[in-house]
Amino acid sequence: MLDDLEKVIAGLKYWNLILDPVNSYENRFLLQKLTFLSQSLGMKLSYNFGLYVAGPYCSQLADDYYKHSNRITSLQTDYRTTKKENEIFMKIKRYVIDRQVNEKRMSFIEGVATIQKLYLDGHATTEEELHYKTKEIKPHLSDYIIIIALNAVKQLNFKSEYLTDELKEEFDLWDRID
Amino acid sequence: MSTSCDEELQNIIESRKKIINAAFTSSRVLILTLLQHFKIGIQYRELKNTLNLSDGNLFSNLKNLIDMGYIEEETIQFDTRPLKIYQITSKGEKELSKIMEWIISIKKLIGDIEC
Repeated sequence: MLDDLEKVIAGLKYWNLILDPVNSYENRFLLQKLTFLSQSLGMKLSYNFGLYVAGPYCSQLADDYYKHSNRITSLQTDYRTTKKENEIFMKIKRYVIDRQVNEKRMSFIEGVATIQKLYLDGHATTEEELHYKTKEIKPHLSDYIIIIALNAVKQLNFKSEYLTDELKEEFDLWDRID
Repeated sequence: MSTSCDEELQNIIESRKKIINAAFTSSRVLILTLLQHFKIGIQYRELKNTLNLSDGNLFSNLKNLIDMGYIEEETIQFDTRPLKIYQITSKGEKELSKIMEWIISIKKLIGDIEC
């Protein structure tokens, strides 16, 4: 699945993330969650993510980064990203990677990936259900983290076509509030 | 039962001797299986939540598997907090593989029971 890994590395390059998945648990964790988010938002990858104890996880992806770890640490790829892929990377950077969460960055990313998977697989649809299910699977995540992760999931899945004139008007009103 | 079935049964009895008894409890086989699948490593809290074992039970099983060299424990910083993660070793992979082969040979014998 080298073609898939090329795309994953392109994402890391975009985010300027130099990871060492062989030697760092945190880096492996991050790579799994960010790849899942990219795929779930429309990036064409053939990884098969399941929802397990550690949130979305794919063993094929793990095999790939153990096999080609040097390509990941050196961000070596010839893959040229499409406009759509760049938009996906931009969204993830904006709403997940750059999100300020006091010393809880990994838990936040864990929450976002888990909620996104629960939502897409239809395990829960309403915010309350998603919150409850996430807490059930991940009891160590605080309510605060789940709430901001839920908001991030909403932002990630928001499409410009959802922005009706009525919504625009309301947003403008909030923007002028100062 | 025919001779081939006798041979298979004999193989099962013989290959059982190759499996380390201490590794062959349902909890330990399950821990090894989980760690074999999650090459990323598993956090202590995730194991506890999944296996639904008490801290004492889980801790003693993990300690035994570490002592036998089948798994490794590492303390990492996760969100600036120390966190214990576990990974299977190559020795653990080999033992799990022996157990799996043994179970498959039993299944095969049961499937061939009419022979």
